[in-house]
Amino acid sequence: MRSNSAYDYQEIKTPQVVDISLWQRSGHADKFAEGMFTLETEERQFAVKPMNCPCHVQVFNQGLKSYRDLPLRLAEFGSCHRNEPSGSLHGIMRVRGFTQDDAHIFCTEEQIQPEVSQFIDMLHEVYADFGFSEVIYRLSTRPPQRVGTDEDWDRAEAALAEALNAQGLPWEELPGEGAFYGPKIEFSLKDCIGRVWQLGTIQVDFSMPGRLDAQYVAEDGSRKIPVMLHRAVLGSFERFIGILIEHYEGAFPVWLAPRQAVVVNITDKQSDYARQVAARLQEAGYRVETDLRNEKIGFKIRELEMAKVPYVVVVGDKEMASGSVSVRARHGQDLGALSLDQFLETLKAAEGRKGRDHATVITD
Amino acid sequence: MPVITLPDGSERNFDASISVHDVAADIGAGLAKAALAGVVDGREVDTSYVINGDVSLSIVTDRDEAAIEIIRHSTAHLLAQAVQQLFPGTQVTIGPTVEDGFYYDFASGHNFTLEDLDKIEARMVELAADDLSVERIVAPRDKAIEIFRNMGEHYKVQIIEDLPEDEEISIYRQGEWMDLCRGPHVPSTGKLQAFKLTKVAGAYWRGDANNQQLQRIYGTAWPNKKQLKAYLNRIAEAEKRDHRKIAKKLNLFHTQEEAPGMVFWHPAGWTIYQTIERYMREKQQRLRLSRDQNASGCGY
Repeated sequence: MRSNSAYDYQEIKTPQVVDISLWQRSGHADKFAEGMFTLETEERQFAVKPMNCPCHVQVFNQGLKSYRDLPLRLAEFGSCHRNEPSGSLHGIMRVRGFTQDDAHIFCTEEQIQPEVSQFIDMLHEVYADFGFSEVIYRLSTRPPQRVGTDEDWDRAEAALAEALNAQGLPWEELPGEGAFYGPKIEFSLKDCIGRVWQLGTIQVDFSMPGRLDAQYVAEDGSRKIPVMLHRAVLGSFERFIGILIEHYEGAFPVWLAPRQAVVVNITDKQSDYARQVAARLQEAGYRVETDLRNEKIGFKIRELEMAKVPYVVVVGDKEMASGSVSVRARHGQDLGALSLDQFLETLKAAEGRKGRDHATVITD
Repeated sequence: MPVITLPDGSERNFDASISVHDVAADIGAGLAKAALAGVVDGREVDTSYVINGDVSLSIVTDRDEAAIEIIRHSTAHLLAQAVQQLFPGTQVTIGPTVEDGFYYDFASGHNFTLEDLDKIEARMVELAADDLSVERIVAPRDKAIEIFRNMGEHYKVQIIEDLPEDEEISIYRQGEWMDLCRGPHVPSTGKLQAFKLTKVAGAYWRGDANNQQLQRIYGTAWPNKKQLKAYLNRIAEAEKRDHRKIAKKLNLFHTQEEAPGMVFWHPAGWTIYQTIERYMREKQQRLRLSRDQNASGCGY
């Protein structure tokens, strides 16, 4: 497993509003018409993009591609809109406007398996960083209505299965549940109260590259159509953040917390010192605020605990005299008096753990 | 002379046709009491189902996964029975199972409230305590239509009329109350011990907004009280964690009617969003090193 490595994607950005003709060629105008917001100007019809893939093929299509360019991985934090029925909307979990952590991998058939394996590695790292260790794997295979030959499907399904087997991952097959354009793996998480959320996916697509004229020059000089893999780790940022809010019950781990620490003074006398402490922490790159209101210290601490701030940094005369801080971690844990450097170390360690210690975050 | 093969492979011979219940009783009195249904050659049937030939049989008890669907379906009937007793003139339509429970759609002049749900649930408890036996009656199509027409159940009449000609029409009766249903069901209402009505919502006949409006009562049902309690705890925990509530308290984002299904991110929520975006970007970023080594490049 490659840990702490970056994966080889190139980030792009594609248009939000695209002429309907592209959606006609991609097939979405036909199959996905009800889900698209459309508009008209200068007698041309446009659609707000419901997905990013046709636009990614347009980027791939610029310039002649060779087999040496593959696998080519194009990523976009793609803002999409879908006209979901109003009755189905729910907070930020089910929305009409959302941003996918989307990417498309253009590759040869032989490259499907290594690409899927690498993707699974990345997905495991990401999920672990958010504190999810239990992943559920489902492989959806060929439906009755489909494009591509049986041999294409045989090889693609085998590649996906092999990528899962190579890591000894337990998976369930959903026969016939694949899309018409190819098989897929779906990755679901169990949250801390046992609910299952489907997040990640990697799908083989035998159809769209051909429909949109994607080609590369193969080693023998012939023109070939690449395979396209659609993939997302989080799904959409909106829904994923909704899940995190419920999973952490609002008590975000330090690396995600909007306010990582708040410095509070006991009396007005320590206001300047509190500001200095906050400035020092901010300079070190942390999201820190002050609460210098003329309120009782107990009241301020309670309020910040309610707001799920990871660290409340208390400064009184004693702390000011010794140049230290007294730190209360979330859930009432008293870290006692620390030097500023010590507290910076604490912050750094907590931030570095990301969500990997979330079990203690939610129970301590 | 039925030879019945049980799940463990053992065989039992009987001299004459025998019901699923009686096979269970032949195995043991405890099993007969626990039996909720049977699976005969892969098909779920009532315990009253009579076996005439050689079959494979497994007895469904509350330990089996199949039991939960049957219990929920039977509890939907119990709900409909209670509603029709308490609110005469209410017509029944359909009452399927859903994830974690069931619902029943009613056509009623009365608007059901949450207080009504308490009353209905109390009546359901009484009907379960009465331990009414649940009986399956097969009726010819015309006869079934006549029965439901006389009962004033016009939706049921429509359902029967839409069934394929060759479909066997079965009616389930518990006490005085009857419903058209394919089954199977638990043998008596006393088997239903762990349920709760959860909410009431609007619905349309056949899910079509052009049709008559109906009222849908949702409930949950489980094989035992312990599982019901665990489920209700899970729901309470999920409510406590509702992201919309927490987001309001922590000032993360809001949504409003002018932009349905779209998010107004507030500074605190957007900080979380950006942190995650930055993290994902870093994970995906092309290694400078590998790009330099890749002499062919790709022209962007």
